[in-house]
Amino acid sequence: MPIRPDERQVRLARLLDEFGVRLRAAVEAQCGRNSALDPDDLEQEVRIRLWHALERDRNAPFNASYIQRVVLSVVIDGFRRANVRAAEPLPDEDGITVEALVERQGPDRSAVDAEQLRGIAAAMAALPIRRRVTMQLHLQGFSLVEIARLTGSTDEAVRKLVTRGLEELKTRLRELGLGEFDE
Amino acid sequence: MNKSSLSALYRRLTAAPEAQAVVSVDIDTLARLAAGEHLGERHDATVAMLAQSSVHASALRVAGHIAQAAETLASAAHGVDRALPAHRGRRVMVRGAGRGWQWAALAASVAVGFALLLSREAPTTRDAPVAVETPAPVVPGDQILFGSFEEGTPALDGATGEHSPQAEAIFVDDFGA
Repeated sequence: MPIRPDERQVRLARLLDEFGVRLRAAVEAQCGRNSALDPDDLEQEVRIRLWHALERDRNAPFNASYIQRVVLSVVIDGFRRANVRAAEPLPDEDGITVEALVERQGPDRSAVDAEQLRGIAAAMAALPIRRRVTMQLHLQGFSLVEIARLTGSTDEAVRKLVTRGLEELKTRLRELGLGEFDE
Repeated sequence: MNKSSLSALYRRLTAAPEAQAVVSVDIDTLARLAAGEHLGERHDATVAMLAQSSVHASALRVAGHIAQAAETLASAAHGVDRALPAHRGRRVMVRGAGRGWQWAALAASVAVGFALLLSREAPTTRDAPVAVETPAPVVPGDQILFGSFEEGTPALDGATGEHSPQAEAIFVDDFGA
């Protein structure tokens, strides 16, 4: 049954609402609730872009691939904006460098973090390439299935690489005097 | 003392602007990876680069997890547009095979009516006034279109386009002989 043109906008808005719920859930699950991304802002920006695409040219392709591209673009832009905001120095006060004041966790904690980061980078670089990439993807949060698909391997092979890789990383970091680590 | 998280530390390491600066994975490539495509020769190098960027890795994971929702949205949006009335100038894909014959019958009746209208209103050759036209100047290549049958339609002589005396003889004759 044909619908009125004004009803089109209502239906599309409802579809975008439903998609937005899933998008926010994916962002919170994959990027963490404490990440630099605001799921609401990200969902709003994706919604605006998709709405413009639907209204600008109704004969243009509007498929899942296009929607994913919009999401990818918005997520990456969101992270980059967050990095820019974090890197901007605050104005000086009374000649004191504020960057030092901003490190509320204290200089000792910052030094430990920096040392740990350098240790992880060194330990990772020492891994064989195949195990290294698998470990990197694992630490980035990809599941075993996702890693298997990206690397062209099997779930079982990935599981073994991750298990051995974690043991090796923890051993190297312990030898560097950086303490114990959780996964 | 709480243990540090390897994953959290590694993501911080790979989120730094310095780490992002060396990663060049474009949106199209990420979209193809999210769709499960293999990138051929550059696949392994691209995945290795992706693994060193928490920004790109996070974006790819999000895109992968909304893949099904994206399919649903795209399909449903097309369904909404297909349901628009035909008079808006959009193509309407009628749902269900049962309505097909109704559209065919409507189209056929419109065509028949239009044909009847044309046949009633079209002027006959006896009614149409004879237009006396001044022959257009003949130029090479236009001889077929602008030639006059009263004067004799010149025939093109092969590639030269010149008049053929033999052809003119057909039209110029002494019927009284």
